[in-house]
Amino acid sequence: MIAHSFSDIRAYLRESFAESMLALKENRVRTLMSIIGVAVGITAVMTVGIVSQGGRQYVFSELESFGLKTLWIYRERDQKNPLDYAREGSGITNEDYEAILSSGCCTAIKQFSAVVYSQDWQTTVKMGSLHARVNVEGVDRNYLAINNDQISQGRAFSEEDIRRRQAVALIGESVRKTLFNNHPLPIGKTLRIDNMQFTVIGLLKEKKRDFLTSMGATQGFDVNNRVLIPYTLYQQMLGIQDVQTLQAEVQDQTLITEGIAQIQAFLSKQHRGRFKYRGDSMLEWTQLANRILYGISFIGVLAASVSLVVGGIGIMNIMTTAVVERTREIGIRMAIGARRSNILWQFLLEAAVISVLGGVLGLILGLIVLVALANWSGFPLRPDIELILVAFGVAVMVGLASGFYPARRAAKMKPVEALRYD
Amino acid sequence: MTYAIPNLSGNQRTVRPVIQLEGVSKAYSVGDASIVALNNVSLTIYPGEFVAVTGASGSGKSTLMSLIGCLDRPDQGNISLADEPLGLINDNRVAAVRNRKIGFIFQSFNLIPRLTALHNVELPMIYAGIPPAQRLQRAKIALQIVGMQDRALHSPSQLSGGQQQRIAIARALVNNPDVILADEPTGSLDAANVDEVMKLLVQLNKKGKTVVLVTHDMQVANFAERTIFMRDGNIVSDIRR
Ligand SMILES: Nc1ncnc2c1ncn2[C@@H]1O[C@H](COP(=O)(O)OP(=O)(O)OP(=O)(O)O)[C@@H](O)[C@H]1O
Ligand SMILES: [Mg+2]
Repeated sequence: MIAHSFSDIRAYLRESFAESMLALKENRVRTLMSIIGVAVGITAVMTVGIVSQGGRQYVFSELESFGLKTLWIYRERDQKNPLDYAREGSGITNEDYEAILSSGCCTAIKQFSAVVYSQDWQTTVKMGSLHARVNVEGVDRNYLAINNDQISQGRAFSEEDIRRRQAVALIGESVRKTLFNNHPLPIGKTLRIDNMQFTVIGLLKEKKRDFLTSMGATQGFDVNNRVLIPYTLYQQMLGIQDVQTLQAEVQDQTLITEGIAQIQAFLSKQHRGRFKYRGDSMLEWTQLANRILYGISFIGVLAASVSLVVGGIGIMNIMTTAVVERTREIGIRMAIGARRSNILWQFLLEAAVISVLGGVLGLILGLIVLVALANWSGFPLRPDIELILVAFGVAVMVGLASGFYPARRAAKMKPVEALRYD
Repeated sequence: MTYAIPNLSGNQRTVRPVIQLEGVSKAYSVGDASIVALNNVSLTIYPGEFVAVTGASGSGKSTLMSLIGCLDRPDQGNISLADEPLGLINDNRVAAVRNRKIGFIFQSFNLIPRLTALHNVELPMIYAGIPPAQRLQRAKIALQIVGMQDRALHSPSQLSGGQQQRIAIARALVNNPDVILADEPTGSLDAANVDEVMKLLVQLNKKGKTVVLVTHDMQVANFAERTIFMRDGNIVSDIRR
């Protein structure tokens, strides 16, 4: 067709669209079915996309709460070497700790904290007549910052608390619940560890640990069931001069491996290779999480795409039927001067209208499903505009792709034969 | 009107033919057999002629019409429309020829049932790329010519056969073609409507349109000044009055 101006083209498009609507209205039920077919596909793809995105955020916010830049160094006893295995000590003495702090050896590291545990897995902590088995850790000041621990009430350890071995404690949420009868304000209360009185100076903010627990990463260790005390005091109570674990935060996430290597090298030199040290970090968990999440979203999107393909086949099906039914109409249009391209676009446009309507319906359904899922699961599910645009684009593509074959069939008809059809 | 019907002894050479067929053949294959629908047909029609084509059923009348109307291509021979040879032109040009040079009228009206009378009449102009305002105006005039201006917004199913055929005539003339091809336009109509439709065709012819009309009905054929008889794919007589 020869368009005389831009407004003519617009008018032409508007009319073509109106004509498509007329044709589609002629078979309301059929049209509606194929719209729903596309809508279901779009809803599925959108839901899977956003849920896997939300899941990712959920898992990573958890991992982040443990500090993505955190690493641990501790002595690794060689099970197969009885000589090494029997060797006493944690391999990290107080002198080592002080040396590492003052030497500036480890450029990848931002800050360190000593961590002291008792030999036992858990320690009994008493509060009046109540008692609980908790994880007691002796820590340095930087421990909180390294582990992304926040104080929800009270205060953190001061420099003086550590230096002067003050009998003060920070407690986790689980401890508050069991020992303080869910008392909202345990600050200033006292509790007993190994017959020593500690004053509670702060409450640690609760951490969720769904992902790590489900991955077995916590090995039954509940971060919320911690009591933190100055490591200096804990060493005194346990009668030791070394620390079990050295915790550190690297300057940047990419420096974790390097940071571990630097500390290992430093400690090995300190002890002339008598001990072997193992370094752990969140890295393996973030990598694992990434692998799992990508796997899940890939499979999910793939499965959802199948329903979109089914929707596309639906369009192809009804467009093929429409082309056959309207063979005579195609012949008439050709007889009065329609080009093959006019016929092609007429049917392509009809297919596109179906898929766009399906896309819009799918988006609406998808949003409803997401709101419902977000309410039900507590997942941070929020649709993002990019995904909506992609879903929409996909809908149009599906329409054009599946409309193409029937439309081409219509355009290729021979006018005489089409006119004879009834 | 401008063109006199050329008499064979006169100066017809100064008027170029609007339709010219030279040795045109067309066969259809049905299974293994091949049916010759047109057998080496030559025919010249001048502008402004009113030609009736008659003959027994199956004699090749419709085949002739669809070849003239570019709905099909011949197996052999050449066809020219208004001096344009149709043999080598591409599909888009063929569509343009159907759109601008030819107006079709069919026995079964062939309106698009979903569209209003007005919209049906506008269709050829839509394919011609005529702007909407001008289109509407011209469609209304065409409807007025066939006396259907009051039915512009009716759908074909709301119209009688005679009315539908008049809408179809409006559609055929709206792009101001050189040739009107009508294949048994009165075949589905009662006597009163036959008269109406024929009056319209005569009126168009008087305004200079070349009309080629296929009919079984001798009374209808009598409206034409030239009658072509066909038999078994051949033109057996060609009589001018
Ligand atoms: N598509 C086709 N396939 C096979 N044979 C065909 C086809 N179209 C026409 N024919 C045959 O070609 C011959 C001429 O057909 P045509 O339609 O031109 O006849 P007609 O003169 O218009 O007849 P009628 O008066 O019945 O309309 C007939 O024998 C017919 O059977
Ligand atoms: Mg016929």
